Amino acid sequence: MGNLNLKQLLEGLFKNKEARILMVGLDAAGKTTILYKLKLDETVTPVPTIGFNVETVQYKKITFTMWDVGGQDKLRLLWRHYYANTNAVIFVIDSNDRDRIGEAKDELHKMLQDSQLADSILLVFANKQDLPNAMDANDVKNKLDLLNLKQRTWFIQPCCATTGEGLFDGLDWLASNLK
Amino acid sequence: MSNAKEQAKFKKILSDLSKKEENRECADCTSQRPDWASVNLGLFICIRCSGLHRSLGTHISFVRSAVIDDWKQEQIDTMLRVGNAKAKAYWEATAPERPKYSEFDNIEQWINDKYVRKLYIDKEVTPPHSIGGSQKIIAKTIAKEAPRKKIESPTNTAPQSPQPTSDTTSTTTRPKSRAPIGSTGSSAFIPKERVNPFATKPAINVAPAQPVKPNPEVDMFEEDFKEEQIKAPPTATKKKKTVKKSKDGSTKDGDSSVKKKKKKKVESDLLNVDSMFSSHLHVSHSSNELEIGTTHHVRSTHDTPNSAPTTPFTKDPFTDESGSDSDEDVDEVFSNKNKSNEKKPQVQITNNMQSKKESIMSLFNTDSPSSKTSNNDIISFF
Repeated sequence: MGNLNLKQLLEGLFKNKEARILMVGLDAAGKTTILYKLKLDETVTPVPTIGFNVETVQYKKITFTMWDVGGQDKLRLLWRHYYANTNAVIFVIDSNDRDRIGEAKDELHKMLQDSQLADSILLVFANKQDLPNAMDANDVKNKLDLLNLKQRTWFIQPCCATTGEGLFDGLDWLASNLK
Repeated sequence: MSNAKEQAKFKKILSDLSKKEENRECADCTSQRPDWASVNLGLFICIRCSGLHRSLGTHISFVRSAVIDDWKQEQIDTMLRVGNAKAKAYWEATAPERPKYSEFDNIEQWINDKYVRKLYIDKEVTPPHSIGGSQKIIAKTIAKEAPRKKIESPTNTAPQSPQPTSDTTSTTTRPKSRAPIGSTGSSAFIPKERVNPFATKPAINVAPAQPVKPNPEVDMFEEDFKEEQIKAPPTATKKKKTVKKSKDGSTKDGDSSVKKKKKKKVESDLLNVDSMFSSHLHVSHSSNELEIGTTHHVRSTHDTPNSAPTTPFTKDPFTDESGSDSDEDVDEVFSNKNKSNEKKPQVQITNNMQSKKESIMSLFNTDSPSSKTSNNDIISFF
């Protein structure tokens, strides 16, 4: 009896947690670049994602299964098929694309209305901070109307996928906020 | 949904635009049948190059898919206004020689040089994609407008026409697959290269794929066209069988007539007839509007299975016409007819542009580079 409890305790301490992450955002936001920067620590110039990429990333004893789904207009209709059992949503923003930040906001809020995502937490990556005309995180936060997200645990993290800056800060937040 | 309808319309326009000779190759790597586009630059690119364009940032190149993205009217307008030929004339004005399809070890570098560092542009020339943009001082725009047109005229006529013949020769030698671009991308990120079933054929297909449009469509846009066009179809249907073969030849020869000077009697007859029709075209507007007209028809008759992604294209001014000529042969004849019609307007454009050019030449000295490039093009194509 006592041995069993100890075993369970040890497993609880050392066994990896698992988290299912859904990464979405408008096309050309940098989702795939982020995914492979996290996975391989390589800067890739991917072709547009038609469909999805999925990789597992080990970080802080958590196995993140990251689904990166294409962001083209027609592909956004498919996002909802990935919602089930998602622990966290990563929404990627092209901070340099001021013209489409409104479109991003609409997509984000539309997505979060889905009941399947009711329990998932939200991490927003304000990507492409290296570009000269990029909006800062605060600006993106306001434009996305994040303050209006009641009952949602969310966080915004500025980052640059090509250099990797900020990416693991985002994962840190995920690691400490995933239930 | 008016939006869905609009999108269907745009898709048809794009589909037809991409069938134009100039747009059948990626603007950067010359791979066949590009179905992505840089919307702000107004050119068609392949999916691999689209990835590289996207990495430049939307302020330099804003990429959309011709298939799986929604489009806006102004984006369509840019695509209609520019196209790969004008874009090439601008972005590669001083480029020594366009690297060949197989020679792209570093296409990333090429794209960077071309669009970011702007190494090959003629700085005197206004970029073709920027014309519709913000209003500049009137005097400036007038001054810039002129040299731009100079560039248009040769690209519209000279370089395009020789292409078909060159395609025959070059496509056979081209490798069908390319080495992966960019050192960093692992093959996992790059979808398999699409094998183009038509890769060896374009020369034969050249004529039909040229902006093909039914006569009735043109009516929609070209009042002047009306009377002649209405008369045209009946004669055309009769001629069909006899003329058909020579038509392929005729357009091709017509294209390259500048160089080859080979004309059969039939062809010259045809050309005469065509020139009668085209004589009513107003050069300045017609090219774009014709293209718009083109789109609807071709798509609705030939490509319905492809083109009906989510929403059926129900009511459009053009569906009536397209529905009526269900007979494919008739359709083909129409298209052949039109394509030869199409040729003529282009010639006319040159004439007009030539005259404009001459009048402007005294003011601007930039004429020579543009005509030079077109000559180079021709030479390189043969």
